[in-house]
Amino acid sequence: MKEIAILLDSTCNMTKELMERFDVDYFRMGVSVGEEEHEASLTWEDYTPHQFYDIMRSGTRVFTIQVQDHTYRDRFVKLVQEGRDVLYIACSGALSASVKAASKVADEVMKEYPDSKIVVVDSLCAGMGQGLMGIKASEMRSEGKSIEEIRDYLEANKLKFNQWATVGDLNYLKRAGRIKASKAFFGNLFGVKPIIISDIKGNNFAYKKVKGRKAALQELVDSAKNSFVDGYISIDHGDCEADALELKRMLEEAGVKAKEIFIVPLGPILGATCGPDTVAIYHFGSEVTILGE
Amino acid sequence: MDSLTLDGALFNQLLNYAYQDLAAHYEAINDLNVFPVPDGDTGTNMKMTFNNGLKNIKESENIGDIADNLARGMLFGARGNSGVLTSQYFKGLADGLKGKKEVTVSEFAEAMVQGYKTAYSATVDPTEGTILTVAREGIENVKKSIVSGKTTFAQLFAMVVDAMKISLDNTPNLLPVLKESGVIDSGGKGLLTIFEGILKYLNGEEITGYDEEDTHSLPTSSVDFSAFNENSVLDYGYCTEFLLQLLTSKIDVEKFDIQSFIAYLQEHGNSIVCFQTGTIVKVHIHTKKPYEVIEFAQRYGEFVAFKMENMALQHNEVLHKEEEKAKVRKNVSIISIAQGDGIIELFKELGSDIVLNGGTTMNTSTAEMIDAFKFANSDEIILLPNETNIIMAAKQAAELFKGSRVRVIETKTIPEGYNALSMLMGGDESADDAYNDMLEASQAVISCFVTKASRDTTLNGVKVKKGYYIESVDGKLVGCNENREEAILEMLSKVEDIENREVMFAFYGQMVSEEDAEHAISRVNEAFPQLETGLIEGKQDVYDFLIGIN
Repeated sequence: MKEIAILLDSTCNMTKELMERFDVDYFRMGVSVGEEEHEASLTWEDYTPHQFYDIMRSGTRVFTIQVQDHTYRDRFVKLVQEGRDVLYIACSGALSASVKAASKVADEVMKEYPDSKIVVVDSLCAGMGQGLMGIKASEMRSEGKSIEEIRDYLEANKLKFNQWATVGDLNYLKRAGRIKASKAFFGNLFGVKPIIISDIKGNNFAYKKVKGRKAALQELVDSAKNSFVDGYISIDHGDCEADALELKRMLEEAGVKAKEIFIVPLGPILGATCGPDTVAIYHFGSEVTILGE
Repeated sequence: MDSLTLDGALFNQLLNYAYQDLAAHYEAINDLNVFPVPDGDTGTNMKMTFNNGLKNIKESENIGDIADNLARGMLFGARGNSGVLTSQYFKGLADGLKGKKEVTVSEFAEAMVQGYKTAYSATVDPTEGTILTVAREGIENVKKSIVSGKTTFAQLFAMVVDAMKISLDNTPNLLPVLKESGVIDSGGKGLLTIFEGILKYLNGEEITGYDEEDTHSLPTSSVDFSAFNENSVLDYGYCTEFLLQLLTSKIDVEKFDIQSFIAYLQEHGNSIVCFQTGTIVKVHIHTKKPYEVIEFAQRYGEFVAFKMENMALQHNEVLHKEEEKAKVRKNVSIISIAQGDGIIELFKELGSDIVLNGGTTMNTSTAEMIDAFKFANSDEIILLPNETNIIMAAKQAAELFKGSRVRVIETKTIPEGYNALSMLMGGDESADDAYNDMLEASQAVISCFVTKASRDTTLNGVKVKKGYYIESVDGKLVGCNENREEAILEMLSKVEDIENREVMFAFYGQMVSEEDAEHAISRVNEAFPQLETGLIEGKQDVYDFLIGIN
């Protein structure tokens, strides 16, 4: 059996430490900030998370750029030539073109290298939901599971990687347009915080409103507690570490027994879409059944 | 004129006098206002409620019929809490007189007992020192003096008037808030005035100070012409509605192109509703230059009906406009009541299907709400009154209307209504979910306002000076300040647990400039940095700032 390379992309929010620990890597999307273009790096070479989010807070718009086809190709070819199978767990196909683009490239590469295996999985998620799928894949790899077994597991269980998120300011989501909710939902609202899940089609769906940040944090914890099954929990935050730490404390106080709770910065791609002060809890839990209209 | 019995014809006369007396004195009753804010005026409300009752009366010899028609008209025309209680009083009275051609003094007295009992039972938590007390003591303290077959109606009403006066003078002793502001209860005064009018007729006295024109021309929704005076600017334009008969002498009627007709209208106004039935075109448009539209329309035909109103004076415009929409039975409709163009627009945007124009200065009547229910054409209706003095009328409307299941969320203020509406998910939730979410949200907000005091008074230990800004938190006066900004800051500092609140939103009224409003909010941001603040151009009257805190 060939060695398996596990790849994710910039929306997965995994830190350098986590990627090293679980031996995974990622495809870099891009962001344009003002006139400049940067790699959507999860290792934050060009600026710190705080600097990045302060740029957004100052009103500069950040746009996202998808992974280039040749980037997929070069990486796939390199790994295949090294004699490895490739598992790419991509950002939800409902949010990004990654799955489509990578699948096409993967098919081409597999034709060129007939005994190669490149598996693209649509995570139907993003953030550390996607990241936790990568970690799960890594653990299965360590257990000696084949790439097909890992793929089948992920396909069968991907809706169990739950997201409970809220944002600081609805306007970022509104502008980015990467969320499902009615027009009225985004009316002239003050202090209203949406609770955003990843629905069965992998869309971000604001399925509930609460008034005020505190109520929103409580709602995230309550939802996570109700759904949590086992394993790791991740709290991803857009430069609001205090809230992330508070969520961790609340989860522990609520008696949620995670194997470990990670606190990670929300990467540049999700940051550009959701804005500063977004905070999300990800964990393995009950299967999502909600479809946003 | 004196009599031992009372029949329909005479009762009708008495009621007309009662109304005239009320119409002659309603302004004095309006002035008996505890809060130094020109709000939901009791005198106006009672007068309009009573007038609606009178208009519903059909000539009859039977006192039972007259009372029934009166009560029915009043129930539907009820406006404001005092109007609702008055309508309930007369409903009870009508129940007591039911089926009778004429009644004796004792019988009428019994009906009056039934009247006040019905009014009491209409309130969840009857307060003494109000119209209820006056209604009760006005007959209970008289009953024992009635001698069957001896006491005449003139004597009965003379005793009732005396008893009511004593009762009314005592209201400040029962209701501390009256004592503190040095007034007697306004609703009680209104009821007394009704019986004084009756007595005046029986004693052959004239009613003075009453404007004859007022009786017959009074529309159900009265128009306050003072809203447009010599200093006014035409902000809103004219609501112009007409039916245009297309004429073959002017155009080829067959080839009339309604789309290009509408396109013209769109360049000359807004809120356009325009459709064609056969050779008649119906047009509704808001325009500042109606002559352009009229001139244009006349190129195609002539008017068969025409109506034009200055929108600064227009009430329930919103309803008129909505009436034109196609009617499809809906599952749920949300109806709210609000005043101020900015607030009305916002409420619609948030998901209110109908926003009735009404509020503090013009309390929406039961009938207007029922019209809206009919128009909504929904299985379920959720109504947000957004004003304390409209809640009773709203509940009465919900009870009277049978075409839908109507639930009232008892929102007392605009901030409560806003908070409730902001929880709507955008239409795909069930009526129960919408109701529960809105109810919960409406109860979570603290409502405050700042406005100019309309007179000197002392209330809740606060000395109020006319022209200064009064500060109210959850319906309680907490301060008074010469400076509006300072008033806002002082008021916020008095909100319980303010340092742990997260959200503050403010609607600024038409008397506040955008600049001033923004400056005030920047001061709030400095003083309370943890508050997420939002500013909305409400364009409401009366209140400089309506503020909600979560």
